[in-house]
Amino acid sequence: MNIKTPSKAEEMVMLAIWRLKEKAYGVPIRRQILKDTGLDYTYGTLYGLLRQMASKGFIQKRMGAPLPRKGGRRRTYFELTPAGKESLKESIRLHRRLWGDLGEYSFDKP
Amino acid sequence: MTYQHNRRPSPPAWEEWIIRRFTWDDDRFSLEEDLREEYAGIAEQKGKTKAQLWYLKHALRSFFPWIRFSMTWSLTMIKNYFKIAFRLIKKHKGYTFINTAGLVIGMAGAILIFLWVKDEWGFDRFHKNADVIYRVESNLPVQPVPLAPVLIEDYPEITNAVRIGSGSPLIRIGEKSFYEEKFIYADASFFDIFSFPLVKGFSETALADPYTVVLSEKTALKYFGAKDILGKTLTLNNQIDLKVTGIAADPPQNSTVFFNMIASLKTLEKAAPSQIHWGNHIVATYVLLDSKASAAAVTEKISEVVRNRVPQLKINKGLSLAPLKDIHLHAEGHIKEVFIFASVAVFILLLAFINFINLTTARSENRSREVGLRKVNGADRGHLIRQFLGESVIFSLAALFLALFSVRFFLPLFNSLSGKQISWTEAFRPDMLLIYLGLTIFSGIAAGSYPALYLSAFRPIHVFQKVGRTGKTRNSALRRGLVVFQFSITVILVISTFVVRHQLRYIRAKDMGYQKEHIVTLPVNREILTNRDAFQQKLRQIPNIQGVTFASSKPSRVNNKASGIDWEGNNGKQNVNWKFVAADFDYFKTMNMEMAEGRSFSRDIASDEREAFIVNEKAVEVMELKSPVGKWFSLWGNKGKIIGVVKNFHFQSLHNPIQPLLFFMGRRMSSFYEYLLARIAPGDVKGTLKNIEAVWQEFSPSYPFTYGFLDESFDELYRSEQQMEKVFGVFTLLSVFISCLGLLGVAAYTAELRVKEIGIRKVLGATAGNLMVMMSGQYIRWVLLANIIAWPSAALIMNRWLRGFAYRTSLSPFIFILSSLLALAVALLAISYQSVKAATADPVKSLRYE
Repeated sequence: MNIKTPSKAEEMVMLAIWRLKEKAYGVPIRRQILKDTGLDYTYGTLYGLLRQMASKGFIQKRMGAPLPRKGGRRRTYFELTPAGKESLKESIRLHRRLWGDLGEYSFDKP
Repeated sequence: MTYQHNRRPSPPAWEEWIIRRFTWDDDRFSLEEDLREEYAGIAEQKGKTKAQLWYLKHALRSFFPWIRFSMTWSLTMIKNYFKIAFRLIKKHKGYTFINTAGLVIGMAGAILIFLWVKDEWGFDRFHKNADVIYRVESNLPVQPVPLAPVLIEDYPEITNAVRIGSGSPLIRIGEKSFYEEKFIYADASFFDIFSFPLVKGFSETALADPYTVVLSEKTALKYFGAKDILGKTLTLNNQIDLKVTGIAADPPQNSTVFFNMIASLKTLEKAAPSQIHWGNHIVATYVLLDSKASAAAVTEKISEVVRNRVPQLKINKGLSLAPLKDIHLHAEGHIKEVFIFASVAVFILLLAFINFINLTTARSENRSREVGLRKVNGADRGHLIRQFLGESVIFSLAALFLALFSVRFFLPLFNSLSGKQISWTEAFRPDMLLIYLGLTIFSGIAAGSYPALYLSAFRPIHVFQKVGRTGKTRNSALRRGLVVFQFSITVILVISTFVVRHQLRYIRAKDMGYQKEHIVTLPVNREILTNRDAFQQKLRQIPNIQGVTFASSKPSRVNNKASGIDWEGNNGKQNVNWKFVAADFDYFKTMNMEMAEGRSFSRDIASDEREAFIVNEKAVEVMELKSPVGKWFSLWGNKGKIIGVVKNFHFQSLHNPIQPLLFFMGRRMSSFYEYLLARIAPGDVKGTLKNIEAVWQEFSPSYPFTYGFLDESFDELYRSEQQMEKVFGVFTLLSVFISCLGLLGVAAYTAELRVKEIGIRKVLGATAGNLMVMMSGQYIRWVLLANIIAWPSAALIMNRWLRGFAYRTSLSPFIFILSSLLALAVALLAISYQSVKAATADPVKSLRYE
């Protein structure tokens, strides 16, 4: 398999970024993850993941305009790269292949 | 809640500082911004306190990813550091060898000396009560037997006391009989006061009864072949049987109180009751002070105890207390040696460090590119300092490892040189290893810090531009200074070694005032002394014997002191106490001593046995007598006449000036006589000894025949100096070697730097000789400078050392010149290989461009 599949955590972050589109910077990403999965990441963890994914080529950084405030800094926005999108697709395909006709109730049958 | 639209609440500064400190550069700003935003939101909704707590949580938790992150990267870098270090080691084997050898030798030497110093320093400190044990002293280190009970009884500050008498009696166990030199008598409190554990028997009762004895483990094994010997007996002086009541662990070597056998003091009291009175100073008395009492206060109280009991003895000094811990180091003056050796250890380590610093900075050129590249790739100075310090620490750890091996290997040799008995298990105890480790890490940092600071300061732009040599002038000035310093130390050590040797040779060659060669000494006993005249007569018949006499001590070391002296015309001199010798007929003739006035003891004059005194010239001087012969003289109330004056001779070690000395005949109380002194003709010494032994067997069959030579016991006086000479010699050699290694390394490097210059000079017509002179010239200048520094320091130090001798050589300039020439020759030898190599190299090779 040529395309790298993301880890579970990476997948969650990438999906959050995708949902947020151009509004994807630190605060909303964290909130999105909290809303979708209930996981309360710290920024330390989140930035660690973002950094790791950037080095793998799944996401890229984009610097926003300086904030309209005195001493306001630029925000760093994140967006998916084609490789990132491809890895997400691969992830769901893999998921489907693995599960096939199995569902969550399959395990309750004798 | 007051909230202003234009001012967002922002987190406290210290929390932001945490975040800033523990996040890595790229993401820091956006992360900080995100946190602020959320902080503001929470503060708005739930209040400032909640927001602050939330922020703190995030701040602290961002810490762990940071740790993981930095660990990963530092591991990667450490791997790289190791790789580079190993490549360098492989590439420059010679340099690595020189550098390591210097460090290993320096460390091994320092560790050995450290062990020695520790052993000396620990003298008597192993006792649990070491802090509160004192020895009672007056003008003598020994006191009368009845003193101790009085001290305990009358002075509540003194909680316990032990009396220790010594002797070297004849011991008989079964068929074997021998003189035991380490034989002591002691009170039952011995084991309470000192920490000598018993292996067998009970410490409370072992020495409680008369006629009991405790043996050290080694002695028990040696003579009984077993440790389980309680209840067995041995015979003392062929008279009394002693029962073994305990086996003590072997006492450590660094103990003032030392024994192979301890008999109970009650044995002495029963066997020799005539010795037990206030006038007879025979037992070392140690007391245990209450921990709250001050020694000075107690000294004041007990000062007059002995003098008040026996005023007629006119003892010139009251009692005082000397702390046990100080006896070896201060009272016996060993602190001087400890100090000298500790400085030698420090010097040797210093030499090794200097080598390391020199060689590392000298080769910094080789690494300037590496430094540049690392900096370009984002390393800051801290990284580089850490790298180089780490390298030097690892280097010194490796050196420590090798040094410990050498210590293990050389320890027996060192022991035999220094007269210590340090076992390697003791040397490698865990706490000792920890000390070595600490020392090593410290030394790695100390030696590595200058190179690290120096190397890390390189600017990439200069390194790659290759404008000249980076910082060459500054660097080489320091290097020159260090080499000069190194050689100064070395020259000082060499000079000191020569001075010590010279002084010892002077001592051996000095005219003692008598002829110490060819004198046989025999310890005598009752059997001999009861037939002393017949015994002497028999001995005189042996053809090779030129003279025979008895004496209370060997003339090389007279320790008996007498107080209670008076003489005709004494103008008020009180408290005189002189050393004395109880001597028999022919004493002065046998020893080849000359009389200055009067005559020696004569068989023809009957009163000589009781009423004749002979003094030395110094005594006449002290008595201020014009014509001493014929004047009355009294000792211990016995009045007699001075019949002669003997010329001054040295009856103590040459540390001490000649003091007054008194002779009288020991005939009326022949227990004064301890030795038979016989002068034998050079030549058939063995045959003569055989003949003496035959006579001995005839007169004293129950005592073994043991003998010594006077010049041997003479050497014993200077044992510590002789050991010092040997140890000093070895370590001086080591330091010369280390310095030469350093010089060799620096010379090799300089030759490498100047390879093009040398090539051009050759092409332009310089001969190999010219070049060698040029190359060596600077080193000769360095070494000469070092000598100029070393001379006054060495003179100062050795003058102090020599002042410890009352009779000493002068510091001969010859020694200084010789040492300097030696240093110069060795230095030239060290660099000659390099200069010859450089001077004879083919210029084509050195000048070819790539």
